[in-house]
This record gives sequence, C-alpha cells and structure tokens, in this order.
Amino acid sequence: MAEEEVLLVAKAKKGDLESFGKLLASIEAKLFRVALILCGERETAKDLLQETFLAIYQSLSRFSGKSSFYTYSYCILLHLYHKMRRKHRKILIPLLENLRAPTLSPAKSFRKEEKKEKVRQAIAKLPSPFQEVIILRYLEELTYQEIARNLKIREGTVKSRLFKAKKLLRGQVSTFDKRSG
Amino acid sequence: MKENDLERELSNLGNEFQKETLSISLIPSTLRILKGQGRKAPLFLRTIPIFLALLLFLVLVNLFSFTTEPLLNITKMVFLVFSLITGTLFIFKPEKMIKADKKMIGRLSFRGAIATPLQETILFRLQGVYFILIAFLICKL
Repeated sequence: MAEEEVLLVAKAKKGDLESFGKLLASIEAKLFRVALILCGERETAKDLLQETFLAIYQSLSRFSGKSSFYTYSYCILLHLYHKMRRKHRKILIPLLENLRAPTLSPAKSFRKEEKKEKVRQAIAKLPSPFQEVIILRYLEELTYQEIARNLKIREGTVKSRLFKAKKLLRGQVSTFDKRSG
Repeated sequence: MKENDLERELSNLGNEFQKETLSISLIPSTLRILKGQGRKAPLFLRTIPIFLALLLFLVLVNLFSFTTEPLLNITKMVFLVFSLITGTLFIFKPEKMIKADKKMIGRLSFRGAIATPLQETILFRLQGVYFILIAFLICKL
C-alpha cells in the first residue's frame, strides 16, 4: 500500500471524512466500471457503488492494510453484488442496455453487441472467486502476479481459477446461444 | 465459443468498459450521508414527530364518531392509530420508509429507482399527508 494511502486510511479510521473522500476518489472510477459490468445498467451500478462506499466506511476498522485499498473495496463490492443477487434471484440481468450507436451495419452491429452482452451477463453470473480473477485480468488488465498479490493467493491458483472461469463462461455463453436460437 | 474468441470478447469488453465514466461523482452524496449519520439531532427535534402524532391523535379522537357497535369502534380505532403512525413516519422519516419500501418491492428496486432521491422524499411525504387524511376520514366514518 502506498504511503499516502496508509496515511489517508489511518485518518479515515479516526473519522476524518475528508480523507475518506480522497480515498474514494482514487477508486471510484474503477469500482464503477466493475459495478457496471456486473449490473449491466448505470442506475443499478450507481446504487451498488453508493452502498459499497457506505459499507467500506462502516468496515474500515477491519481493514488491516495487507492488501491495497482498492482490492479491499473491490471485494466489498463483489460481496454486496452477490448479496443483492441472492436477494433478487429471479431478476434477469438486463440485456443489451449498453448498446452504443452502431458504427457497423445495423445487423452486424447488433450481433456484435449481442455477443458482448452475452459475455457480460455470463461474467455477472459467475461465482465470486472466478468473477474476481476475470475482472482483474481483463478489465483491470493486471498480470497473474499482480492478481495473486492483490487477492493473496498463489499464482498457480490464479491461473487455475482463470482457466475454470473461462470454461464456465464458455458454457454459459453457449447456453445463451442455445436459448436465443 | 472457442477459447480465442472468448479471450478476444473479454478483452473487447474490458476496453469497452474502460471508456465508461460516472457523469456525477457519488462521493459528495456519500460523505453527506455519513455526516448525517454521525451527527445526532437534539432530543427535542427527535421527539417532534412523536409529539405531533400524539397531538393529532388527540385532535382526531375528539372528532371520532363512536357507534353502538363496540367491534366497529375498536376496528376504527386500530385503523386510526395505524394511519396516524404510518402518516407520521412517511412525513418525518421518509428516508426510512423509502428503504423499507425498497426492501418490500425488492425486485423492482434492483433495477434502480426511477425518481431522484428528492422526488422520492417528496412523494413519500405526500403519501404521509394522504394517510393523515385517511385517519381523518376514519374518524368521521
């Protein structure tokens, strides 16, 4: 953990909201992107992010500083997301809400976006340990070593989790394909 | 889907989401909530809702039209108390009622609220007024 981050965490633990705000500012954009990948729509992602911020503050005393503040917050976000999913099991993760203005022909663009959305939905449905590695590897573009250090697991575990996660993703995407015909 | 395809899709998805940004930061509102949690209102301010509800109850009880049917009287009284408590909570504690409401509807809240927090608060306070009116009607029934 960076020296400045340690200092801010220490101040935030004592109730200094300004320091806590600075800490949040350093992770807000990254966390929002993770929330958006998981939720699929901006409003829900924002709600999840706000809940995460409040939960981080409440559990800040338990943060020992062994991992980075981002990893700690990221784990809280994933935990809250899965709690939310368990609560609303029947909810389907929104489909194709993030469609951008097409640059290709409409049919091609639609197929491309549909494929992307299927992958996103499949990620959202992964169990937490697999989700962690997939997001850190492909969204945060971290190396195996960095993921291992962040999650405090061995590099071999990262690789095996990634392998299993991709296998699950492929299965999930083919299920979607079969369903949509 | 082949392994390479999936890898490519994942990378594309990663790149795509890297462009996503929050239009308005959530940090100021979070800090406001935390400040509000930390600060406790003085005792007299906290007791205002209870005091007003009690006052309203006393006023409405005077208007209460008792009938010869004891069961009907009890039912009316129960409804009156319920409407008063609910109305007071809606007016004075809209944020708590919004939370409870979201928990109750669950599925819909997962998709995020359509109204802004301010609109929600206004709507819930209006509902509170509606409940007080119901309480008044119960008295005159």
